[in-house]
Amino acid sequence: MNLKARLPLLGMTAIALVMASGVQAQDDEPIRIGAAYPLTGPAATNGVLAALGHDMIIDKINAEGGILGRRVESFTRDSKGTPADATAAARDLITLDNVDFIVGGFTSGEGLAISEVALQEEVIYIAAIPKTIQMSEDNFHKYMFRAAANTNTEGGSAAIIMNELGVKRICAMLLDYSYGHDLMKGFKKHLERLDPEAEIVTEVWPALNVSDYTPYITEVMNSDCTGVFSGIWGGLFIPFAKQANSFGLFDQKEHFVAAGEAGSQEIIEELGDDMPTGIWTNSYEVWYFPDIEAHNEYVEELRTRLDNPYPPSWPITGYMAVQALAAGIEAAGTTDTEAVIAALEGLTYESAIGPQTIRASDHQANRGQFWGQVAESDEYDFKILDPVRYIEADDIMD
Amino acid sequence: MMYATIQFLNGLSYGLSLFLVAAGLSIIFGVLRVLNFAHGTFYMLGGYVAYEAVSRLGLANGGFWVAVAVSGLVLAALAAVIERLMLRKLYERDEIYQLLFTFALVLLISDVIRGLWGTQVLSISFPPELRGAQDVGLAFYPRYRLFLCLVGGAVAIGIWFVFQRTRWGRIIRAATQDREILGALGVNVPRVYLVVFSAGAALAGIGGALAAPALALKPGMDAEIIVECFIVVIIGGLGSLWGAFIGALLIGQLRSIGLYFVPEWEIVLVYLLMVAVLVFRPWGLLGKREGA
Amino acid sequence: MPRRHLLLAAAVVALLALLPLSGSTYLLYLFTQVLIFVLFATSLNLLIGYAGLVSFGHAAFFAIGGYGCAILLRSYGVPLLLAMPAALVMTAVFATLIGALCVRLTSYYFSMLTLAFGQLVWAVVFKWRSMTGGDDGFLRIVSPSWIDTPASFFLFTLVLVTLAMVALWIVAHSPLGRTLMAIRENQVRAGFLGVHTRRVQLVAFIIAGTFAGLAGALFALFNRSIFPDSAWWLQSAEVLIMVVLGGMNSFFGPAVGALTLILLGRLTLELTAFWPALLAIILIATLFFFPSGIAGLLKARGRR
Repeated sequence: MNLKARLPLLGMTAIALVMASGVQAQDDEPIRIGAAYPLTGPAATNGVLAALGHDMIIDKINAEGGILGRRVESFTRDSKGTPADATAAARDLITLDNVDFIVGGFTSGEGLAISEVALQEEVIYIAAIPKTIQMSEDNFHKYMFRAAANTNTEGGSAAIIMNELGVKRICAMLLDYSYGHDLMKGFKKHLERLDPEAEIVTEVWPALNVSDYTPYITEVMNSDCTGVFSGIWGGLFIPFAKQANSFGLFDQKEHFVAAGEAGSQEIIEELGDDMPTGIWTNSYEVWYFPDIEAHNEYVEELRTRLDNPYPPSWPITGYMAVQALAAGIEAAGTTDTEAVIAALEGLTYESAIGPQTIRASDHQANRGQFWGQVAESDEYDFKILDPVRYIEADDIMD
Repeated sequence: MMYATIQFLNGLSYGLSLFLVAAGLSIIFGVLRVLNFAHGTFYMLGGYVAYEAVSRLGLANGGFWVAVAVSGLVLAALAAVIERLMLRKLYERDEIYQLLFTFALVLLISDVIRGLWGTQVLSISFPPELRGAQDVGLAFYPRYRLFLCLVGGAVAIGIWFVFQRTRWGRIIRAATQDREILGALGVNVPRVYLVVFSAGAALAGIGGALAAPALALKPGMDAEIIVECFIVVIIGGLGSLWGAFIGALLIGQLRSIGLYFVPEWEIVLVYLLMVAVLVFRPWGLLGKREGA
Repeated sequence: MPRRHLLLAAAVVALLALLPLSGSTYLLYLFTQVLIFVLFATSLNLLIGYAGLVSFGHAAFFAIGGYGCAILLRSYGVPLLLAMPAALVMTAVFATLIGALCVRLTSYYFSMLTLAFGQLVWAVVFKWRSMTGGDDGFLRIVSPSWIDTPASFFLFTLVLVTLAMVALWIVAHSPLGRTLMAIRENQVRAGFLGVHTRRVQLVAFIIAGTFAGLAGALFALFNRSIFPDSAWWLQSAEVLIMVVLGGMNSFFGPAVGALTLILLGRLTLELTAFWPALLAIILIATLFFFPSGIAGLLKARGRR
């Protein structure tokens, strides 16, 4: 094989080497933060929104003088929605972009994979979206922090709602994978505490990749439960709700508590009239609640960026993760990893939804849940959550 | 009794709408000997095209039905172009080329869909004529799903009629039996392939459009449906239309009644079933014994 | 097999052995991943290129090797030097069972059965949470201290992959390899010549699967985690594309494909928004215009 044929191989290797060496020439003054979100793949649209929230807060921080007076440089890489690619993205952020900290992750698998990299490289990782309880329990390590709520908080908050509605006989409909099972655990645990007499009389577990929920809907309707707890999340709630509507599930069952952020603005808008009125559901964020300065500021900026007066809820996840990180670095007074870890533990910081505190024992922020009841609106073309409330996490995040 | 009736209807409506899609896959294989991995993606594209049409036309005045027709036409046209310009060149080559080509189509079309419509879950409302529930004696059942049963059944009968009573049908049946002879008999084989591929794709697209109000449009729906279709045609037998019909009905009932008996390990059982059929009886219930 | 290719390969290995001197952890991680997929893709080509059997479920063995090694290492405390061979034995056993059933079929049926088995393995891994962690993955896969740094792990991978590639090369150029190609050309005639076609194909299947298992074990150790995604059909498709892109008609074709695909995926930051579509177009172009893949292209240009 002559030189001509060898050229492409050598060329590709050369490109890689140049990219690697080019990094050394950088100034080490700025603070470097890396973000890993799915920018392609089945979660792309929401991943891109989370990355947008990340970019928004970085811009805001830099506009206000940076962290510790130093500029923040941000690098975002595509985790593509799979744990193996998330691992590669996190490693590239650390070894090629030389970031000091990592935020992000979308699916629980990605979160756990990035967490392993963080442990190996001894870099702080703040999980923005992954909820799996594994991250803060069996697989906990000191470099892992979570700004998002975990499944105990979500399940527990659903139990609180169910209990307040006075439901004694419950049907549970959850997706058959780790999220569904963890959510159930969180729900059961807290329901026990609130009302030992409440009983889950029927459980159905649709598989994750199922589009036709009708057999499960029929099963639930055949049960004598008076309230339904559902963990059919986000986009999946759309086909579910339409099918359930056509069977009259929401009329037959007096109460319906839908976890999984079915109350997100995007979901409510897409379902339109098919969004079931009267159910209780949660969302990462509700653009009209709470009416506090930090939140209103966030919403205004998001409205401008998306040119959409009723913005989606995903950007807040990326936004709040960096708020936690920035607060930790400020409190530590340095970017030294050990110092920032120590500073973050027990830290209370201001976020776009109000004050958040990071628990020292498992590095879990007391991120609560926004729950609301779906109601018709005179003002808007879509339904809204009214009443809407914030359920604190402190008592239920275990 | 009511519960059983409803679960039966759930399985029936699912199975019959699955048949719409699986039928195309089976016929395409029967005639062209191509295992069209992109069939699920045709189904998906049909759904998204219908969504787009409904967004522009609205649901009033039969907008939905126009949308369904548009889906069929778009898919037929797209498939015709693909067959004429690309697939045709691969018939003489090793099967791996066709397999890989249809797989590449999956990647390409689904990514284009993602680029055009995003990855949010999208929904089409039920057409106003078919909202609400219908009294079927033993229970009230959603009208739209009853409609799906009717359509599936009508298509089955329609295809049967075409196959048994028309010239085209005879040609297609002959092609399924023995391709080589066909050319010798003076049939324009390339045209047959083109028509079959387009028709199969159009069926898939229409199936996608019709299923959309009931199931919603989301990324990965093509992978979901192609796996179901594979199971259906494997059980029924590749190339056999009746096999696809029986297979689809069977899978539909398994999904609704099966869940009652074995909820936990359902996902393993589905693949185990696929393995079992391929191991013990690869030609399925009604397929031709060949290549096994 | 021209000696020039062997010399070039040896030169590449020698160059790679010097990689730790570059001081770039990024490159060490990048090429560790490339080496793992070079092995994975080359093992698959034993089936596709040499035997003419298109397997859509090769990731099953990748996953079995990976999970086997990881579980033995962490759940049972078995030392790596035992765990890895044991995982390979386990993979070989599964490859025998699955292969025996698959080689009874040809063409489409073979492909569909491999796909079905691949998904079956995925489903079991997914559901068997107590053993595999389910979709929360199997984590905290810690390598022993002597391969715990990026450089030492890279060298470890380089050694194992090189040895494995040598073994595969020997198999491909042995009488077995030639028999496989004869069967691929004309199965009936080979049968008439007294060849036990199914047995030969089964042996190839087992070897291919076992080496995929080795790649999987290395991948699990490398990432320190393994998830059911490693058994999902998209993983099988990815390695299949590497083989086709690189060239299924040459021994080193898949290696070139693996390198190209991984580099493309990492370096095309601006284009990654449409990565799957781009990949599809490249694949289609390859099928139509460069059926011998990139390796074929390089060979053709080299001849001038």
